[in-house]
Amino acid sequence: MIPSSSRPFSGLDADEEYTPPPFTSTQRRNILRFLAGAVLFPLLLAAFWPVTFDSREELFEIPKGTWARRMAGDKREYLPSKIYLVLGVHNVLKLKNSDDVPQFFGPTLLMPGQTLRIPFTRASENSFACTAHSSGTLLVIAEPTPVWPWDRLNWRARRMLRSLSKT
Amino acid sequence: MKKALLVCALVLPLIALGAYFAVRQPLQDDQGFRGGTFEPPREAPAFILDGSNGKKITLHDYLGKVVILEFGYTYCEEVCPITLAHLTSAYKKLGPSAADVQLVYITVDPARDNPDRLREHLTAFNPTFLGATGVPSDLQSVQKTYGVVAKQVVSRNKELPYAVDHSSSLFLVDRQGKLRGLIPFNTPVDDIVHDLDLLLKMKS
Repeated sequence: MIPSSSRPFSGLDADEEYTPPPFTSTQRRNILRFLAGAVLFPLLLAAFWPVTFDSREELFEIPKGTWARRMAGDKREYLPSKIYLVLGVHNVLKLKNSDDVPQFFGPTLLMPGQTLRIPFTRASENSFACTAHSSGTLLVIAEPTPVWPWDRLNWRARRMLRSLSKT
Repeated sequence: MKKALLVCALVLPLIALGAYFAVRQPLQDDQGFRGGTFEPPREAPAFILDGSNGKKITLHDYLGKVVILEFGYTYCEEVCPITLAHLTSAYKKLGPSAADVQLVYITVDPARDNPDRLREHLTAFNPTFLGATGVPSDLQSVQKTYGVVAKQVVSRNKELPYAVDHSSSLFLVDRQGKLRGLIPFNTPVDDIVHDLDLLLKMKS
């Protein structure tokens, strides 16, 4: 119990609890509107804003030293095991071999310093054999272009979940 | 009333923008190759194999032509017939330019694919298609240099002793003998024609 003499002036008696004045109905409505707007506006924006990327290409680089690390018994995965593309806007996989040795990728052999550019024109899931992965495979998923609001919302939500799961 | 107008002013442009992008056709990557491309292109690995024309064949023989390399085998029931049918259609669509294109079909099953068998099989699709076979070690060496994988497996067809799982992409070699690109399995005929056309028009 704080001695009443040391309490700041509140205009209340010592034993009386302070209760803030209730919101008026107009204030409550405004707060609800603000909250609804704060939720709805980003959702509408995510649903209607078109899906765009800076480039059509998704660069996937096999870093220098990958083969040496594997040979040394390092089983850690440095490269993503799945790559997502979007038809029409981000539909080209650009695979660069920056390692010192040739690497197998899908149906072919990539020499050091060489790049393989593969455009995707159909929605598909493609499993490529890849010697740069400890699992030996890379999954490339070409998703259809999300054109309708619900598809865009869905696509953005999945993208956000994927990036959250990476961190 | 004013608030309703404000909401409309915010939401309607978004709807209009969304509708515009919804009806707009996705961009097509028409300028470049529709199949895979190598940058920079390297010399296509050389080989000397037994041709279905009864001669030894090398890639060097076809300098000045665009060469399509296919790895497959004549008993293939799932991949090769589709690819060969697509190539037959592509040749027809190319018209007279097809004379500057040469398909070389390299077997992954030398035990069953001799030159005669290859000739008989390929002629049914197009008489200009050329088969290539050889001793297993030579063929394996060619497969390795192109990064092609082939493995004997149990055949689903009980009448065949075995099948071969093999890489299904086509390799494109330009007129200068450089390995320029690859065409994944089941690529539409028009896309194959598009890429061949680009290669035929390429000067270097």
